[in-house]
Amino acid sequence: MTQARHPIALHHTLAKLWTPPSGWRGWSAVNHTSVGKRFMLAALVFFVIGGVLAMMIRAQLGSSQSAFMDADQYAQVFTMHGTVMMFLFAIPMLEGFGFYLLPKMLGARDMAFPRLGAYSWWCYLFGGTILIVAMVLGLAPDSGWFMYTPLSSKQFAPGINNDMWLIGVTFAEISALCGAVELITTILKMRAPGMSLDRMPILAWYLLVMAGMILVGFPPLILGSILLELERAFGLPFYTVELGGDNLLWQHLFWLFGHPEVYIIFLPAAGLISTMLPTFAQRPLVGYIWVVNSAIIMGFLSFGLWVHHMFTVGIPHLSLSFFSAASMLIAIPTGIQFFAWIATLWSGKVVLRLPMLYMAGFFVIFLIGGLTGVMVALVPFNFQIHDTHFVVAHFHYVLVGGMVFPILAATYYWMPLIWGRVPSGPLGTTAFWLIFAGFNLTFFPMHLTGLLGMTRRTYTYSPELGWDALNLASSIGGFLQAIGFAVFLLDVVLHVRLGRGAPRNPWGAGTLEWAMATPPAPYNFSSIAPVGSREPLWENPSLPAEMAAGKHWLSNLEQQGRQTLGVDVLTGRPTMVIFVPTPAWLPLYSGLATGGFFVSVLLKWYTVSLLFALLTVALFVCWAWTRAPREPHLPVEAYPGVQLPHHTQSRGAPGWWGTMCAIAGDATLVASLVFGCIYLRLFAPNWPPPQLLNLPWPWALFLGACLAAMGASAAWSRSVGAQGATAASRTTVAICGAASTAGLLGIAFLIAQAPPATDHAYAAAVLVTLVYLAIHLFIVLLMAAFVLCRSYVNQGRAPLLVDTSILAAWGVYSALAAVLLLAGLLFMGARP
Amino acid sequence: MTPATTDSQQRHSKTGPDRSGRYRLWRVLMGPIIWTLCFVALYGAHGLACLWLAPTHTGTVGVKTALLIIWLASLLLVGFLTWRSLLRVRGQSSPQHNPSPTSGSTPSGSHPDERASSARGAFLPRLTIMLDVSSWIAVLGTGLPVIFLRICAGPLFSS
Repeated sequence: MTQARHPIALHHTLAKLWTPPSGWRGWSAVNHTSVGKRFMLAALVFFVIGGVLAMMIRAQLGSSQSAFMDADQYAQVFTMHGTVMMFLFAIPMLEGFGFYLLPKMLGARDMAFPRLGAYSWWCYLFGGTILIVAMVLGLAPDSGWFMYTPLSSKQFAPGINNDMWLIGVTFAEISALCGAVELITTILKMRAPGMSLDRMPILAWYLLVMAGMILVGFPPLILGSILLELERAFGLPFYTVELGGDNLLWQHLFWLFGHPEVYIIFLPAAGLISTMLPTFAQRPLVGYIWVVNSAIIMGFLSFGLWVHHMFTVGIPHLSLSFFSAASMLIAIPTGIQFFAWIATLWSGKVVLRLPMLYMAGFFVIFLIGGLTGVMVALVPFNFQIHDTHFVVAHFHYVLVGGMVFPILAATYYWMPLIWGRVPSGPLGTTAFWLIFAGFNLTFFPMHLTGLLGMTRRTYTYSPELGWDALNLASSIGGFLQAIGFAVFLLDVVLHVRLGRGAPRNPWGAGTLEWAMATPPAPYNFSSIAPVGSREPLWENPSLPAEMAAGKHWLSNLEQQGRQTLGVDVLTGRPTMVIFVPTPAWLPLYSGLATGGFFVSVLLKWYTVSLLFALLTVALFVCWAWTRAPREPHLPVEAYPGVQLPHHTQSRGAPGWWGTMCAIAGDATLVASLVFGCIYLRLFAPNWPPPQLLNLPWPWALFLGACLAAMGASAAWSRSVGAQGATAASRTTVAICGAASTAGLLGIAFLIAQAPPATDHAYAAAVLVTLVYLAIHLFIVLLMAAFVLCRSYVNQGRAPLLVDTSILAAWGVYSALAAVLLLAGLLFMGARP
Repeated sequence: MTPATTDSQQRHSKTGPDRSGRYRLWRVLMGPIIWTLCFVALYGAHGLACLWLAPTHTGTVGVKTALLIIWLASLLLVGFLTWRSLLRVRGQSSPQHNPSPTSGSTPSGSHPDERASSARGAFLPRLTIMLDVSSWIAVLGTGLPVIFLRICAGPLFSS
């Protein structure tokens, strides 16, 4: 047992360890506070850009036969408005809040993978920049934010515009996926001692559901985008009907992402509401477990709604009714949350402060959006208003009500924490009324124009139709709203610069982030206190002082490094000490290399793109290599008398959880690809293909044996490695690498045998499937080589448990995924 | 090495800290997962039936029967899970299983294990029941149209 440090000395030691570099070196910072702020700032910039585009749309539609924009310009503007708001503002802003707040609320000092978080931000920034640069150059995508084929195909959109969308959005989606991996691992593994699942702040549950949905929801669109880009760039006819493709495949893949996306946006915003409301009601959230249940069930149900965007494409009525039923069922968990919020207010002593005003706006607007949501869930009504401005009004009520108002409330609520300033009332109140009135004036009339038959995406209309007055009202409302947002931004900037200094916990909240000074120190907590309830600060008001005095966990810093606690997923029992990385330029370099890959694909410099891909892989290997410990770490005294192992010597380390999350995302992509193959085989016209893949049975057996050997040896390497058998562990890893190499050769043979990929959708699907399979095997090979090299470099010790665990997980998964993909190929080639 | 260290490391090496957590989390999500499978099975089976079977009377009766079987089997399965969850919670609500109220107000007093026992004791089983019941309602609502609507009817179909 070691002597406790003086609080000031502890503060200085921690500050020295955690303070990010200043000046231009600050871009190498990877801690969650810096990355979270970057996400929020970039998302704000994109929001302003998206807002300007919205004003251009309203300027165009304010009067009939307007000549403000021509059809092409208008198509670019509405496409970019939707794209920017959905991909570059909504999710990144919420992820930014998550990155910034989560560790502070959970009692951690950082996220699980800070460098991955930084890489995620660079990917987002570069992906967004591609889209904005395209717009500035007049090359913005112009086929709508949903990019329906064949409108977006080469035949009808031959320019580079839609390639910009496909590349830029895919790049930004990689960012969202990385963020999701980081959020899930952090929530599950990095909490205060004793913070069991039932004591987690409610926002953590919402973000957990959101991140899980991103892992499952984004891969279908990534696959769809890759297939569309392959069609546009190389003529692989996935969506070309005469060559065995099908346009409805794009719609399925897009909306498999697109509808859950709405809930991916709504759920964390609802989490913000559920966190703020109890503070102003001065009582805990009513029905915590009901709210958790609702969030989880909404996460699942939201994946059963995608066809309600496709009610008019000719799907049988009974099939439509399944989606209609799911669309209506989802109103039940939404309603439960509403009633929990109302009950919290009802049973509390409500304090009316500025964030409450914005939350009231949320209640009204989202409720209207929810009600029209039940209307559009009805098939006959949906048939009537499909593709009209009624739908535009509905989803703006849902998204602005369900996300923008909570974000505005949250900005004021956490302003003292982020900037150390307290918001005042007048200007914020003025902004609220301008936004609230402007919003309703903009979008309520759109219900009527929609019912009158005004379709979306038409750039002008005839005066005889009688839509002028309603559209003019919408446009006036739109500009009023824009003024409101400008006032809001002005208010925030003024307060950040000149506002009154915030005391600790100015709202009297109960969650752990308010135990910190305002603004917080870079290390968050001097010591991490055990948590006994969901509102630890209400339970023990002296907790902030105790934590600052270093009376709790991880105040002994004998071992250098950025430390935080790793806990048991279920109970919150401390199980390990996690050492998180320090500032580094590798995330930026990796982001640049990934950007180089995407830009060279865009410019059709395919050799260069291959070089960038290899460079990206090399940087990732370098990244992992430099993070790896050279020798086993000694246990850390996490609390007087309690020693915990280093995370690399623990089961269930963050790396293992991150790998599991990555596998979940990849499995969804594999499932989407198999779905695509089956869908084309069964539903696309112009099948069967003229030529099938020739798969000689000896080769099939050989490939099967390679996959079996790869999976088995990967799994075996982990078990023998855990027993410390150095030679056996190395041998199994080597067998795994050799089996994956042999498998790669087998796949190369099959690719050489495959019919030309441009001839038919079947041949194109065969090529994509085989290449995707090869990528999996290449990753296994790379991992095996990495583990072996590490073992030899580390003075001949057995491979680390965390290394073999990750290799085993990916190796076994890759073998199973390969079997599924090959089964998909066989099914496609089967004669009817 | 202190006794606390030994205890912590022994527990760690014997069972692994996350193994029970993974098992429980899967069980918590089992109801919604069955709803997902039921949904995919209903939609997929109906789509395939409309593709492969001629819309004859016998064909549609067979398809309807198959869809009803999928639906009822899912209802039964989620219902069974709910019943099991209820039994488990009733068993745990007896005094010997009921964890003591978690004061937790002493910041460094009691071991986090004791205070965290409420998660295993009450919260997750209750959450599991709620999710099971929610999923049962979702399965019920999703499959009800099978009773009332015709198979393969629609604008592009000629039943």
